[in-house]
Amino acid sequence: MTAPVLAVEGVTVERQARSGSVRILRDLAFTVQPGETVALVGESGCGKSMTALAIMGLLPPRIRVAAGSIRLDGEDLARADARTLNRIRGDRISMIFQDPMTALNPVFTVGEQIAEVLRVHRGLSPANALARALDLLKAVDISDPAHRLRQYPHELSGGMRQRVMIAMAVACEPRLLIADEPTTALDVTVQAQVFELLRDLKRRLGMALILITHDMGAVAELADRAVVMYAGRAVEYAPVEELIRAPCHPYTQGLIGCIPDMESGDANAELTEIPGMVPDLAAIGPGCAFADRCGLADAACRAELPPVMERAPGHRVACWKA
Amino acid sequence: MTVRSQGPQSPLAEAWAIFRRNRPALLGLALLVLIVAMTLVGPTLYGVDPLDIVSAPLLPPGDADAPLGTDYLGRDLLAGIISGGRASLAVGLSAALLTMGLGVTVGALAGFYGGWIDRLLMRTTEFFQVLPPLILAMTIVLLFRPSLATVAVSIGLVSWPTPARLTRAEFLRIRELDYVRAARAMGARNRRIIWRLILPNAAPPLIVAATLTIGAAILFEGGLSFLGLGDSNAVSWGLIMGMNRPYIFEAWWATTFPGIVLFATVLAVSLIGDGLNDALNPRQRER
Repeated sequence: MTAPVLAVEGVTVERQARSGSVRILRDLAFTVQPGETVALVGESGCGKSMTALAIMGLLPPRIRVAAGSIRLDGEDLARADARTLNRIRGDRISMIFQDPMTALNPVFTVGEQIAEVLRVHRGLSPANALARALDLLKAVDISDPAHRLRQYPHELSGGMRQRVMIAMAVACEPRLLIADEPTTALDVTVQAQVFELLRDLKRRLGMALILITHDMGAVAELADRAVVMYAGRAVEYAPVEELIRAPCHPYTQGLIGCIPDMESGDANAELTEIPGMVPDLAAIGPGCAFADRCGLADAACRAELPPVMERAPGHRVACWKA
Repeated sequence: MTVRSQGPQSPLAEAWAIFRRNRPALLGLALLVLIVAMTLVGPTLYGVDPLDIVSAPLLPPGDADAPLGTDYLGRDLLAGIISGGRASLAVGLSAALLTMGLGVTVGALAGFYGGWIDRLLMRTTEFFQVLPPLILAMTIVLLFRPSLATVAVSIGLVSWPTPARLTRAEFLRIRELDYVRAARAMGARNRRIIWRLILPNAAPPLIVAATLTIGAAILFEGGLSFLGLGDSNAVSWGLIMGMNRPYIFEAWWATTFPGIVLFATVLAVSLIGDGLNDALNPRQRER
């Protein structure tokens, strides 16, 4: 097995509060191999985005990595200083965000913003950086790239802005790109185009991708492996094909039950839903966090936290009942 | 879909297009240009020394030697107003620059870094805010020799808290926005985030504040000179008004005319400020 691009091990993230600390991520572990796409899946509030921010070293104030390591090509980002992180971010690892409408600086042109990344990390001259920015706009398939280069973000549509964000993110050909719900704010048709673009860039640049999403459809389409997260914990971890064919954790089964099955053609097939809501992280008992919403849960589930167990090679689950 | 315009519109070009449609603001701009032109080329065209005694004292307007009359010493009032503008505008402008420079720096550091830096700077700001500005400015001027420079510095020192608070508020708002987060994810350092991201986006209200500060500073200078705390060797509108104040019942013109010009200047600056406020306000901008 080759060395992973990213190895997250035993990461626990805590929010400090006056009443004590709340664990937002608990003992999280996964790896991303070179060129691989790993999806982080789960409902809102399960800690997907926190995981991304922890990897980027961009956790909000009073939230910190309390334990574990986040290794990018062997270098521990959880212990890196601000200077190192600034050098790495946007160069070897970058991130695109959910809402492209607000993620670009409104007072500079698109070209200036892409060029800026190259000037910071590659020390290119303004003219060279701008020329390279044009190449990048071409690479992300924007129509009329030379014209777009001189436009301001508010003159572009959401899909075009997300393409610009992607161009900025891949400007330095990163080892790893983190996409935090990259298409949630976009139309369905644009969504498909953005996925296609990400797939294409991944192949051309050989970069690894972490896709954060709550959409199992997107996972099936784009990811090689998936980490299903619940209440700050990885509850299931498997190759996507296997995960969808034979999900082990009741929560994963619930998530997959929420996807309408287009192929079966049965428009009347009932969609299952997961009852209840994501629990308050501060009020989680000693047992399985999903127990209150789980049809299979019994007293033992509430009493003791299920450990992560290997079900099959590369397929791990944290559930007493699986 | 976005409508394709004739080439990209920079935010500045857009702002000017809106400003141009605002008649009062254009009037203010014209008035200010007129007043500035008067103080710049006036002394060459109207070659009377404002300190020379040209005629009898307190001569009413309409005199052949002095079109706007003379003051209590017999000096030409028109000449005084023309050259007085230089001092008033220079002090107003430099005091406003100092005010904004200090205020923006303090506000930016406080708003961006937060924590103890914010607390320290904001307590200092409050300390300045609770002192009556005029008294404080007078004290500062009296501590040094009154001159145009000390007057400008004293105005700057008492006026910076307002822009500091405004800047801090804008920084607090903008530093949490997505594009700042995205820039961090691209590896931007603090200095770059402050200068390239937050400051340009905080600029609209600050530009408006700067404009209004110029008006306030011109008035402030007038007030200090009126009270006799200005530079007594440099003719300014406030100084003329202050000197002629005892004779206001005998010679209304000697205080009224400089007053009108001072008023017109501040009005012009305020109208421009209002126009800029509309032009730079993002909510006024159509997408």
